[in-house]
Amino acid sequence: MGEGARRSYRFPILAAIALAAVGFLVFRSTSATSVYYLTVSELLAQGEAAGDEQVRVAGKVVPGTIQRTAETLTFTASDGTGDVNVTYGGVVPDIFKDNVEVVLEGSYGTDKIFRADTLLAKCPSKFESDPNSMAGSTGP
Amino acid sequence: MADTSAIPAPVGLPRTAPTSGLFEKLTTVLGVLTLVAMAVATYLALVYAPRDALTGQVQRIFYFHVPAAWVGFLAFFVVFVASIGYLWRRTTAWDAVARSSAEIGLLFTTIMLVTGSIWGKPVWGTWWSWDPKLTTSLILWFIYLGYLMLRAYAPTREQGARYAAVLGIVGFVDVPIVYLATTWWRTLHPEAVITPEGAAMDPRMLLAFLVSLGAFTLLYGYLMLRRVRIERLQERVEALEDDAAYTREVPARG
Repeated sequence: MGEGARRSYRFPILAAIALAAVGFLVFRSTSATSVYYLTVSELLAQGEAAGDEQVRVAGKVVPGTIQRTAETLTFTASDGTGDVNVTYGGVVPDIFKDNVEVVLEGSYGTDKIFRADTLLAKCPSKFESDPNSMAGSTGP
Repeated sequence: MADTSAIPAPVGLPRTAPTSGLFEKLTTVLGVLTLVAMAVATYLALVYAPRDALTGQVQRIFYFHVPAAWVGFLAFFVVFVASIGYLWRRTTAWDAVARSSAEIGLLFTTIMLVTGSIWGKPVWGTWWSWDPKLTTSLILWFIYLGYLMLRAYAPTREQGARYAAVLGIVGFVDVPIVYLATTWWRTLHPEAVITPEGAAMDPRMLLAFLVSLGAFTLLYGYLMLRRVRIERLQERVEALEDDAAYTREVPARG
């Protein structure tokens, strides 16, 4: 009967672990902010109220604003109505360039500069064939 | 020793009919079709479809990632229907379908999560982010992992089938949530690339995608036929073992 007895409490324990994991994920996704990211205009509307809090903001990279120095990268992100200047010192995704939509995690300071700790690129919602390549050619 | 041949077997045991030659033939035909379709889909995805202008070769993961997600959703829908069928009819055939489909669905959901992560690293710049689509997808994975655990640890096969059927119905709620996450919330995922107005991609890309979708669906069908067959044989083996145990015990009791 030993095997049966062990099974009888192993099941509730494992069920509790699975439920706890699901609960944690739901909490994790809803508690931090009600939206995954703010638009640039929403960030500007919050202004300094955001303070040193970590926020996520999404906008398009304004063409011609990307400037690289030895340590940092600066550019302007825009959602069409509002613009924000961004500094970032980490690794950028492969597709980072003018007009790409980026999601930034960081804080918006009183100097009106957004200091990003993380820079993610949003997936484009369309695919286009590369005019510079033959179908299936090798390369990046 | 007492002659045990006269003792009748317990009634109500599942008796699966031996495999018909026709069923085996059809399964084999489907298997060959699947193999050909997978080969064609792989060629179209990796060679025929043009390179994506913005993200380059890595975009080709799309031809495997989205069909894997689709098969996961389809499989969990089958679990949902078969679970209702089981609770209604209480026949082991419904249960075998639900269990087999849950296993295959979990496998393809795993493929979706892994290929998504590999795609996310170069394109987004991260392996993982707690965006709504990713979070609800991971919850989906946990629901069906829990479903299989529930079955594995339930005291009896019948209880396992009953509990799992309830979870198979309730758990399906997450499938439309995952699917509509990009419409409802802001996420890193793009909104629908293919809409009623058309597909925002090169026609060659669309062809590769649709063939891959078809090939994955055939693969699901083939795996289901095989897996359900194994499940039915398993039931038969268990019934025969019970039979044998019963026959051994009876003379001792008498």
